[in-house]
Formats: sequence, C-alpha cells, structure tokens
Amino acid sequence: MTVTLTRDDNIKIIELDGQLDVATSDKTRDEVIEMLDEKPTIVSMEKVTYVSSSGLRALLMIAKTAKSKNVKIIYAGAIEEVVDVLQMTGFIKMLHCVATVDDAIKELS
Amino acid sequence: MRVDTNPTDTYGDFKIRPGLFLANGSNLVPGGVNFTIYSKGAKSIELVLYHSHEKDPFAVIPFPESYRIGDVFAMIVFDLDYENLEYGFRVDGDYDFQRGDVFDKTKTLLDPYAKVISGRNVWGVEPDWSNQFQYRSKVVQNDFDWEGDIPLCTPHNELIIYEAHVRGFTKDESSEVKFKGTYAGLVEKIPYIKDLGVTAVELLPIFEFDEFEGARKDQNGNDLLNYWGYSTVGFFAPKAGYAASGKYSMQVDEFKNLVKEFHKAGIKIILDVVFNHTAEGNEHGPYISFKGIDNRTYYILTPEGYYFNFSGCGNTLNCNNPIVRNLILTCLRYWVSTFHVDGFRFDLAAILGRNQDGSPMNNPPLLESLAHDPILSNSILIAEAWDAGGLYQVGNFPAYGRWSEWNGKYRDDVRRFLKGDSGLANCISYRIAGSEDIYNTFWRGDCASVNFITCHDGFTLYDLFAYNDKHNEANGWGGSDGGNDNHSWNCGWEGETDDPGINFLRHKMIKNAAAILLTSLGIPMILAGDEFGNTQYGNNNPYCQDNKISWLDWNQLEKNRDLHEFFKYMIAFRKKHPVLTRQSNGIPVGYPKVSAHGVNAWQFDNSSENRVVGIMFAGKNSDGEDDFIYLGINAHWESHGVWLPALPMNLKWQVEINTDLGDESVYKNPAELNSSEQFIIGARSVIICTSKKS
Repeated sequence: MTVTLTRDDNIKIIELDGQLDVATSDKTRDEVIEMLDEKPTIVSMEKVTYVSSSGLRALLMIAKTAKSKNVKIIYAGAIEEVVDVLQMTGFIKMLHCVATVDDAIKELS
Repeated sequence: MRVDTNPTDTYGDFKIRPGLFLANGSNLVPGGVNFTIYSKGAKSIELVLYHSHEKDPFAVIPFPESYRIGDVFAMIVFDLDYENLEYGFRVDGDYDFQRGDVFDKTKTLLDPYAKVISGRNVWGVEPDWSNQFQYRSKVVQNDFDWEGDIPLCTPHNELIIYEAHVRGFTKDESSEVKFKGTYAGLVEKIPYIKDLGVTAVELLPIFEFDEFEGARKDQNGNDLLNYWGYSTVGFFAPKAGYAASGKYSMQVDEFKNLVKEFHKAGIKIILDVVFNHTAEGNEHGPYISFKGIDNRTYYILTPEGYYFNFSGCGNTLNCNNPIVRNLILTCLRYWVSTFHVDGFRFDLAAILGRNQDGSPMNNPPLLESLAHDPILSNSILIAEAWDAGGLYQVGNFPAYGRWSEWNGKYRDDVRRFLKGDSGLANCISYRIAGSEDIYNTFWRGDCASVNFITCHDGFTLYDLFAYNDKHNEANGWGGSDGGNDNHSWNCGWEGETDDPGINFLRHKMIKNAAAILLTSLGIPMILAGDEFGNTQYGNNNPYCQDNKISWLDWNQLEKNRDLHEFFKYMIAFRKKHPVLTRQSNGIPVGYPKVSAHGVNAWQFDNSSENRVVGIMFAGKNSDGEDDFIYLGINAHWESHGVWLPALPMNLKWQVEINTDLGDESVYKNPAELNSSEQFIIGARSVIICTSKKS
C-alpha cells in the first residue's frame, strides 16, 4: 500500500494504492492522519483493490480523527467490490463516500 | 512495554509465552494472539495454524507442559497475520468408549469458543469433503462503532414478535433487495418491518451451522439442505453463509450492523438458540469440536458411553455440567454485551433443565443462573418448554419469574376453535385472557405466554386455511415427516383454487386469526409472511427446502394487500390500547379487567356446541380515560346476534373491525352501535368494538 499526496492547494487529495489489510492498515491510517491539516481532504480509493476488517477500521478512524479536527473528509472512487463491503457491514453510513474524485472536488468547491 | 507482552519462549520460528488462563478461545493481545482451551481428559494439546482456506497447516505448536494450569491450556503466539489465519486444536488422550473418552489426536478440532468460523463462508458452496478440518476457528476483531447503541430497554409487555429466517426473508427475487438472503438484505427490509409495526424480530438460528449436514437430493436431483439450521456447529459465531460479506469473514461486523440498524428503528432482535444438542451427532457422527476436546464434559452419555438423544438429533448437550453451564452463560452474555441482542428463544429448552444423568431437575442451576444473570437482566428469555425425550413443561418450566414460554396450547386451542371444533368456548376465553390457567401472573408476570398461531414449525397462516393435510412429499421422506395434528381446514378445497367464495373465506379466516392474536393478553408472535398470505404449498416441515417453498414470495404482498393492511391495523390497534399489553393504569369502576360473554352480555355460554364468544377488556387509555374493547368471535358456520355489555353512561360502542366485510373489514369511519339492538356477527367472523365518548 502506498499513500501519496497528489494535490495540496485549497484541497488535499490523498491517493491510496494497494490492499488495505492487517499488514498495511495501521501504517496507512497513521500516514493519512499525519497528512491532515485544516484543508478539506479527498481520499482517493480508486486504486484500493481490497479492504479487510482492519482496513474498515482504518478508514473509520481516519474519518473520526478528521471530524475531531473539524476537517471535512470524503472517500471517493472506490471500486464496486469495496463499496459492497462498506455497504454490507454498514461502514458506509459512518463514512462520507462519493462515486468519483471529480464528484468530491465538486462537492468541496 | 508491559512485561507480560514479551515472548518468553520460542518454538521453531514462533515466539510464544504462557497465555491468559481465565480467557476462552482466542483473543487479540498486544503483539499476538492468545489461545485458551479447556480439556479435563487431555494428555496434551497442539495448536494447529493454517493460512486461510489452505488444506495443510503452516504450523503445529504443542502447548508446553508449563502452559497448563489445572485443565486449562493457554498460550500467546506472537506476530501472527491474524486476518489470514485459521486455527484448530489437536487433543491427545485416552480412547475408552464406555467411559466416554473418545480422544483422537489425528483430528483437528474447532475451538468451542470460536467467534468467527470459516469453512462455510458462502451458502450452498459444496465443501471439499476430503478435508478433515471443515469448520475453522478464526480470530475476531470485536471493536465496533456502536454510535451509542445498547440493547433496547422497552418493556417486554410491548413486544410484538415477528419470526423470520434470515435467508428466506429476502432470498427470492421478489424481495428486490441488493444483498439477497443475507443479514445485509434483512437490513434493507427494515423500512417494511418498521412500517408493519412489529417491535421485535426473532431470527431462526444464526449460530454457525452446516447447511450440508444431512444434505440429500430429492427425486428431481435438487438439493435438500439443512435450511433451518437447528444444529449448532459453534455457539459464539454468527453464520457466515448468512453474511453477504461471509466470503471475507466479516460476518461479525455485518451482524452487528444489523442489530444497530434494527435498534435505530426501535425493533429488538431475538435469537432462536439451539443449546440442546450440537452438529456432532451420535457415535457415528463427525468430530467437529466438543467430542474430541472432552466428550464426557460436553455430552450426556449412557453408562455404556452412548449418547442420550433427548433432542431427537443424536446427542444431548450436558447443560448442567458446570463447564457447559459456564459456556452457555458466557455465550449468552457475549451475544448481549458484544452484539447487543435483546433476547433469546431456546429451542427444546426442557433439556436445559436436565441433570447430567438425563433426569429433569427441580431447580436446574443453568436456568436459575440465566434468570438471575446481571448482564441478561433485561433480556427476554423464551423457552420452548418441551424436548424430544418426552419432557413437557408448558406452564411449569422452571421460570424464576423471568422466563416466557411458547404457548403451544394457545396455538392448538385457537386453531381448533377457529375451524369450528366444539367444546372450546371456555378454553378460548382463557387463551385470549392471557392463559392465566397455565401462567399465574403472580408468579410468572405479565409476559409469560408467547401467543402464536403459526411459527416456522408447521403450516403458514395461509396454508392453515388452505390445506387439510400436510403435503411434505418434497422433503423426501414419503410424506412421513412433519406433524399431523395441524388443526387446519382448507375451507372447502385442498390447495390453490379460483373459487372466489373459498378465497374470500380464507382471507376472512386469516383476519380472524390476526384479530384474536393481536388482542390476546401475552406476547403475540407472527410468522413472517403471514401478513401477506405467504404459502409453503402445504408443506408443514420445510426444514430442508432452500427454495421457493420456504422463501417469502413478496409478490403476494401486492396480491393480498387487504391482509397486510389488516395486520398493520391490528398491530397499531394493540399499541393504542394499553389494556391489551397489561399496561393499563387502572380499571373503569364496576368492571372486571377481562370478562367473557355469550350471545347475551355477561352470560358466558360454556356449552359444548357454543361457538360464539365475546371477550371484553376494560382499562384506561394513555390519557387515563376509560377504554373498553369488545372482541366478538363467531366461529360457527351460521351468523349470530350478540348483545354487547352496557358501557358507562358517557360511552358508546363503535365497531372498528368486522372481518365479514372482506376488503372493508377495517372501518374507515368506525360505526356507532345502537345499544338497543343486537349486533349480527356473520358466519366465521370476528368483530372488534371500542368505546367512544357519546
């Protein structure tokens, strides 16, 4: 899993690439949280191929941390399989998810 | 860093240390996973570790001698990829069948406390039978964002239970949900269930079971599976095959979300739990877990070492052995504290009161513990108060003022009365008035009687009035399975018919049943689908039918809109009248709380051929004003006029329900009654009148 800051002007876009599982989720969570400041943030999920139980928890903890810092955070562009997992487990209700990164940008601007 | 998070030993490449002896099963601990297991008869135990879904283990780690205290073995293994891990135990000990020891160190065994089980991750996918280790323990991540949820605290008096099968509820295409046949699919149906108005959903078994247990083919080559699931593999694990996310082993999260979402809608979740036996069968059954871990502890055995079969399913769990008692108590506490479930219905609960030699006990420690447990103190506990060994305890189940019971007598009496049997007028009035002849409220409280006319076991309500006989040929036993005492009546034609008169009568009979059920004192239970006339085509035992026989056909909802509207109205009616839930704050002066009437008010007719019964409930409404309800039942095939009891001067009767009026059974504008006239109740019809200010 790689975590890359691909845009950092009036909004931030953080791109995740790889599998979010027990091997990567703690590190990913910490890296994303480290990148958060006051700017609205989009986490691009386009290249995330799998989210495990630990991964779900990482996404939730990132969102909760952002909320505690009053930072708006949107998860964008997750593939269908990942969206399904979020729906089945109900995590989708606790995360702000949109279909594409463009949608997220529109929403923030 | 804490001292006790440091490895103390190594075994091969694995760092280990003595584990948590007071824990059960596996737990995540800093840096590793703790494994704890009990066995009294074991000489030694090995922990067997697999990567997910792999046939052969990647490690076998014996518990060192020093990792055992008493009969408990505990070990922490560090640096495990716990999401990609399955584990089991191999237990070495004596084989002495007559003594009850059947240890076999070649078998890898499921952890009795496994909280996630792999091996049947996706429903109906044929397993690799060459693999000895079929049901595989996994480590759970039990953290969850409950968003403030706890088990619901509303009084049991307000329960209106809706009995549903997770898979059957949404598996049919007509359910139109995304995740069909799963917990997630059930969540999608919450708006429907909330709109219906029930206050609790009781789920047929969701403890992990094997749908392939006893699987067969019917004459057409279709699979006959263990669809109901009354055969537990693991008591702590939600069934993976019911989870849309089961293929990822995320069933714990998915089920927790289900409970959370139902609670948001104000609906409780009750689990149908099977503690009377396990899926290990008798001496010819497979080694899954308990048998190989400590057979003598977990099962009631004959002096010759065979399995007592009070469950009718091959073995009997040794519920009043202290170890097993503790497992059951721990299990229920786990489901309440970790999953927030609101209660339990215990399958063949009489077994829970049997001694270790099989005899019934006067004061069974397990039942007493459950009744007084502090975590379970708000949980609804419902007993199916009989077993397959002939112990029948309806009315005298050791209840400690806490337990409710499925009232089998209610079911039989209401069915027989409705179909027109003679000699039941007196009986039916007792059933409607809360069966106080069986359950004395002084000892048993308000909610002892769970009233039901149908449940998963037997005909659906539609079939009750569409079939005289069971039609179980599809079950593959030549029609020999399933009960014969259905007390059903087909209204003049066996099965489906175009005859409008028969169909009108069937709908009326269903409404009669709903009106009685939802006005009776006690806790009503509705079988899911009965509210829209769901059929099982006359099959009264479809335990093996994973197909359209069992699955709810939601097309019927549109077709039978009148039934659905009627149920909805009656559920709302029950909620509106505290007297029906025994929550009335006071009684109108000069009236008994409940009274029985005949054709003439205050003159109950107990004669054998009388089929006209009036029950009047008198109490206060939520504003503290006098509130009267008259339920008039004419089970006779001819119409009869009845005189309603006189009301206080300031009140008048109005009729709200008359099932003789077909689609107009519910009055849009309740009609006032003239007290100087009889009310003619049509043949096989029910009326409900309420008091209003004159």
